[in-house]
Amino acid sequence: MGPVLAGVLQLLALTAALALAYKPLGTYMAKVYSSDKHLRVEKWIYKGIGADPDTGMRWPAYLRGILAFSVVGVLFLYALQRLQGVLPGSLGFAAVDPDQAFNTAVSFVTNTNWQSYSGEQAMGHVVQTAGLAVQNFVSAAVGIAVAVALVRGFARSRTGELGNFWADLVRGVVRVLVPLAAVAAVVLVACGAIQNFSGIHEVGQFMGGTQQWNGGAVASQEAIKELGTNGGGYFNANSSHPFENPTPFTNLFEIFLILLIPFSITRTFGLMVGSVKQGYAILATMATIWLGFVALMMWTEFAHHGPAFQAAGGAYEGKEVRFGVGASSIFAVSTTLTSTGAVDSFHSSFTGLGGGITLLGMMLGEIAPGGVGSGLYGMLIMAIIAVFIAGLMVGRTPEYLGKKIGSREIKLAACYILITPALVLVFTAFTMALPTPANSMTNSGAHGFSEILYAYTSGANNNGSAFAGLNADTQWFNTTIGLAMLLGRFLPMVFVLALAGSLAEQKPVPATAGTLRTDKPLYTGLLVGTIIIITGLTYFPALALGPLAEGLA
Amino acid sequence: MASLLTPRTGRRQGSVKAVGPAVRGASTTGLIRPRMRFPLIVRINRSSLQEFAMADVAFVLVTIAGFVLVALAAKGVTKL
Repeated sequence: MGPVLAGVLQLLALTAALALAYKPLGTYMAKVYSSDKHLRVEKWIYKGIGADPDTGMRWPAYLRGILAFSVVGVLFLYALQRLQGVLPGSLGFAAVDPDQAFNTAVSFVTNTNWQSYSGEQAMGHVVQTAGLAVQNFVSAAVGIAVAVALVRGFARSRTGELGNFWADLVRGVVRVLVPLAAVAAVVLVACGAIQNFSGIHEVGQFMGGTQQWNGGAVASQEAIKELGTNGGGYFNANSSHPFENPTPFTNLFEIFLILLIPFSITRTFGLMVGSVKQGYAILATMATIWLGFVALMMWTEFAHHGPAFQAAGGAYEGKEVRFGVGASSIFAVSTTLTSTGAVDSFHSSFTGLGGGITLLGMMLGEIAPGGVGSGLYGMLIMAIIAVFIAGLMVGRTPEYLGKKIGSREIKLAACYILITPALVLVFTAFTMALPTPANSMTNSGAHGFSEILYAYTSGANNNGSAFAGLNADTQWFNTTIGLAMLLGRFLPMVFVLALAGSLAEQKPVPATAGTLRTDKPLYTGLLVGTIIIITGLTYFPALALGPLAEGLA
Repeated sequence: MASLLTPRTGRRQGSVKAVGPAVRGASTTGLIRPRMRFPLIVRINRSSLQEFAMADVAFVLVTIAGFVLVALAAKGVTKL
């Protein structure tokens, strides 16, 4: 079987698996977030944290809950890393340096999982399991909670209440993420991923010398790492490490986990707003972009010219031979079009245009299908922009899901789509202008610029993947990428929740013959076009200086 | 994902000239430990500890300032 055919068959198998899971999981999540009942374990948690899950929250209160929970999470994780040297079960690792501890704490709380450290060389079992793995669950649940709050904004009328943050957070963890992650962890263990609390082994190398490897609760962390679109690996090599991703099957399974919730939540959205067709329209938009990017990536990586590429059957540099070019292309696109950031290959080693596709995936705002929750709310913001543009074209007040899109809604949507590019471009420009950050670049010229641009794009969009050519463990990068992650996560949430509150207060507008149908293929096409054009206008100059200059040279 | 180069991490690979057995077993006895991140003289230096304490305060303040900035933005949004 040729490598291209193998790649296409894997893509078909993946699509079929996602299609099978779509209805049951999407319906289940809709029930979870619409239910009035609390499980016994949930009641214990509410009692423990002193929260009343039945109190309706307006958007400022909902946001206060998120910020309070997150700031405590950052400070706790920071303290855990700084105290690692005196904690038991830390494998003898010393405390993490302050700047790196700040970066890592913010990274995991914001669902980014950017790592300027090597897991096997810096983090013991306590930090990995009690700190990082816990944040993998709760940061993902926060993203889903915000998405659900926005959906309630569309679904509800004449009330400013968006639900209860603590109830949404706890339900997301207890009823969605933990059960799915447990099943996924068992599958990964059965396929060879490690799950232990072993100490450090000294392993001989084929070329001579030795290397030290530690064990760990890898399979369980790997499961939530992909399922929660987190992406932070137990080991430096991430999903190209055989302890994390042992076989081609686990590779495909991990891609499935990455895409599972972000695609299925569109059905949750459809059910909660009372029209599954609206969910299908959003799903179609996401799927169109994702499939288009996969096709483009496979084309650039298989069809690159040159005798070395032709002899190898594709651009193999930086890719695991266990997985091949096809599976690596699907993984790279899936991880950058979601907010995952896990990698099974070095994105820096992709062809110039291939590297550009990974960058562009993040620059779209990671909405196709995007991170858990964050993908849906990002896509719904773009949906509002699309109906606004359509309204301008026909001279009619835009509406979406029976809610009028007025000046306040458009201002909030505009702020949302401007904040992340502003963070990316300003931090990149400052870094390129300063003399010392350039010392961290492995390459010069267009590729070197791509390394810096990729780092801030990944941080501000809460992706977390690295271009793998940049030494980001410096005080400058740890601090500025930390700030980009923090502001890139929570500032957009402000605009999303304010928008949700504004929509929930409106009374619904009845659909008329002149209402733009947002559940039809025409609207899906308009939405895809809007996303591509807005991203292109925002980032084209930066892309032209980096991957486009390199790929077209 | 971790970045490619992490020069400030503690342990390093052994010399490529040395050849040993493939796997030497788990360190359940606690004999194998990563090397210290800094020379001992630096680790117990009082000014270094003070520097770390200052850095800790700085990063805690940066974290709080970041969240305060977000909260202020939320307050501003209510006036839109």
